[in-house]
Amino acid sequence: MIHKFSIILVLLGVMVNVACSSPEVVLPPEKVSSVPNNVSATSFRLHDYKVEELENGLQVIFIEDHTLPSISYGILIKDGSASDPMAKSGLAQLMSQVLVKGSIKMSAAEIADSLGQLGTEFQRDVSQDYMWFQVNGLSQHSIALFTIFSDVVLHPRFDKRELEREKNNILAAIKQRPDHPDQFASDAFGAYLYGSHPYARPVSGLVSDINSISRTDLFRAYKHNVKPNNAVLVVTGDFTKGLSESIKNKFGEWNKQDLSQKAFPVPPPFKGVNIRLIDKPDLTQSQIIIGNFGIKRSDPDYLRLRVANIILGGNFSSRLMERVRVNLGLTYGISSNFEAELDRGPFAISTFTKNNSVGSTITESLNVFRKFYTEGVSKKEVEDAKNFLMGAFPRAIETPERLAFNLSLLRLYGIDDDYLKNFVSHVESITAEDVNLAIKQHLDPEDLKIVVLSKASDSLEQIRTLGLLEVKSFNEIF
Amino acid sequence: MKLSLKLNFIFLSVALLFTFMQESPLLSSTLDISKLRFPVTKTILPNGLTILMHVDHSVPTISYQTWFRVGSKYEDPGYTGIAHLFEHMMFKGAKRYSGKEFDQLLQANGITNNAFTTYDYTGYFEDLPSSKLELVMDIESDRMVNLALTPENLKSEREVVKEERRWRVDNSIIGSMNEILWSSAYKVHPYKWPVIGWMADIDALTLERCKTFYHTYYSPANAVIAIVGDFDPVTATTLINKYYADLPKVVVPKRELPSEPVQTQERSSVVSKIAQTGYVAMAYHTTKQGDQDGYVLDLIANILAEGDSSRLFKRLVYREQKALGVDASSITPQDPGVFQFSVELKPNIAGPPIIGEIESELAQLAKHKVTAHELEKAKNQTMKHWVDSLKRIHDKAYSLILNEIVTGSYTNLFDDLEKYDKVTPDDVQRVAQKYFTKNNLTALTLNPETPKATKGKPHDS
Repeated sequence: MIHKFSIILVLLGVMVNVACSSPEVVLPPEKVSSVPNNVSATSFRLHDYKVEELENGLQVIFIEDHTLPSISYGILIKDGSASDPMAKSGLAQLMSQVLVKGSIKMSAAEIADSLGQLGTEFQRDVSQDYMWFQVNGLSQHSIALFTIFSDVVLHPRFDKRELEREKNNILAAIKQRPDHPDQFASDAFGAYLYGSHPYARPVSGLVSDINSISRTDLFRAYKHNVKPNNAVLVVTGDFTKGLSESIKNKFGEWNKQDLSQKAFPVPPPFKGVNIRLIDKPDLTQSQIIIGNFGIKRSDPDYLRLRVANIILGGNFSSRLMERVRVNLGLTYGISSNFEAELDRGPFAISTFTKNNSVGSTITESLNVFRKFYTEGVSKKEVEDAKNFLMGAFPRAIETPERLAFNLSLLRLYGIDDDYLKNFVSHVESITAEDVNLAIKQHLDPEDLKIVVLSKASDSLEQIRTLGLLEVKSFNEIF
Repeated sequence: MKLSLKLNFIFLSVALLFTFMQESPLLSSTLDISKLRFPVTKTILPNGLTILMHVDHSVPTISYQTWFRVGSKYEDPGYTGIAHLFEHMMFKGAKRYSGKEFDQLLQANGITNNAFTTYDYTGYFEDLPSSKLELVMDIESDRMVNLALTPENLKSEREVVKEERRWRVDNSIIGSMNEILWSSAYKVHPYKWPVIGWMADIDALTLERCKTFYHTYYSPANAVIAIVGDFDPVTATTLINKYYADLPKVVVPKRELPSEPVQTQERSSVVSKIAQTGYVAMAYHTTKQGDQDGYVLDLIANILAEGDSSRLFKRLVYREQKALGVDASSITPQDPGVFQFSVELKPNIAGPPIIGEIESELAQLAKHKVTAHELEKAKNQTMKHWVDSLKRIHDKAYSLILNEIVTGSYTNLFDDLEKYDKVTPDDVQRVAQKYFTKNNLTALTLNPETPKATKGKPHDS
């Protein structure tokens, strides 16, 4: 029986994602490379996997696993909301939503009913850097699932009525967004930090832009982004050789097309501490995000900064957690994070606290951050953080589906598979000196942007002296 | 055990699309359930501690879970929230390991840990590299009986929990609506108060209360441990004996909880709150864990609101475009639970007519039998969720220990699929008629207010 409880209180999870996020689309030239496991006996062995590149440039990753009667098909498209044209923000999101609502052969209802009958449904995800479509199910339905998956991905209908429906859904979700303070604050921080850079726009887009999106825009976005030489197909689970040949045949029919070069504008530079206080008068608890530009995923310091981040705010024993939650009881959760993307993603410290302790929470967090920057980290802290990272690694790629997704992200960001294959030895080789150098190079506690989502009449006086302050109402942010 | 479920896939419009892969080998059309069973050993020590073990070498990690048979339902009025606040105190150190060391030591050893509290039980877990089993046992057995409870720790952790409450409930539409729904549906049974507790009660909890709570409910006889993953069972057994066998046996008091009286008339209310859009929540009293009706209710939840092909999705979200999303869940804890709906409304859509629409869908279920086809869809989806929930070592441990704690035996996990398979269209109709009655309904609508610049909410400090 399904054991669901309406309330399960968890102490705050620490997300594990190994290959998550970042830049430069490099199209690997290799053809049909079978990758054996060559990690040392003492370290973790990845599942065996096979990568093939079809003549049309599509990369296909196969991971066979017969332990459960389960199969999954996924495709990563190497463009996300950051590729939305000016004045068409939200296009990738809307296109992906309408894509699964009808192929040339099947209507929205037929797709939903057929997949439902097979026990499953389409899963989608759109980020700033990519789109992801997936269908998984029981392997007794392998062929039927693949038939629908490939039909939807390769032959979209972009029905006008479905477009209007999905537009309406997205607009309603945007209207509702302020009811979710943490999500709202996160989007508002992106807008504040990135200005005119595409990362400033929420993935779901801006209301005026969404209203202007037409069916022609969807076809144009599809043609521009969804093409074999801009995609990674992954097949995992309990499948047969015959099936994998059929998959290659089917996706081999897809036509290769020209790729355009991606170029990001430089986001607006700033100096000093800048604060945007967003007034939402019904809140009794304030959301706080403090940060600056971080790094690209392709940055060679990526792993060193992950180690640094674990020490600052990446787990329960981090410095921020220890000071702000454990010692002072100011919050339930505080974390720091580098979102390493194709372009420089944000580095941010995020937390929340009751309105009357906003000032002290920001001050305490900044004190921890400044000390971290000026004094650096110790050898012991680095060794502990490395162990944490290595210990969590097998779980991050535990299932074939997770490994396949991570492998496809590496292809998005132009990172060699060696990153995963030799993850443990890469982490082992990091020294405290490396980490301290990376901290000095990529962080700066003097130049920061801070978003506070709060009841302004409660919090204004507490933060007035902390930096250059502006106050806005929550309904004038986007 | 015969478990050949007839969940053949349907050659519907799908079949028409089969053009390019006729040459593929024909796949089995039934699920081989025997593949989904896995061997588990269960041991009960003389002091009453239950241990479940399952070996899986697929990755070099172990999930180590320790759950106690205590949740918020064993709290007393005026002291709500103690089970959860106490869970936080379990991270504040014991005899061999201080609070300062606790998380630091675990994480420095590559271990991820966390905990959670529910109405019926409280769970703690570590996901660890295979080589760290003994360390985890040392730490867990230490805090099972030697917890250090200090006034300083309670003082700061109380503030942490109050922030958690503000985050999950007071500043969350869904959190606050859910709290009101359950406290309206239950008048007598302890499910009427939230797991996190009322703010005033959290403020008033004392160290003495925490100590009494610990000594009453935290002991080997009230706990189950699950060890799943990459370990040698002989070594693990030796370690279990080393760390747990000498812990004293403590008798856990049996508590009779008051039964919720049968609801005799509809309860409905409107909540006015600052929000951008409206919200509807509904609950019907149903049954408890283990009752065959629970399996039927799970399938009904699926038919009504699982995915784009469900009845309520098609009606409220797709066709009428009145809702952003709709959810139906059958919640069957140890004591009788509820079948619950929640609907996130689109802007300017009023709540009360939505309740009527859901009631009319429920009346359909009671009036007309579902087709075998639709029921099979629900079974297929439920079976897939079941398989998905066994993909990771952590989730396997979770499923085993959950069944052991809530149903009395982990083996019930493996009977689930057969029980779902047994459900007939007649069962669906009978169960719909039995529970979805007007007098059994608690309904809430959120009436979204527009924020005014000067309005505050003074109720929590």
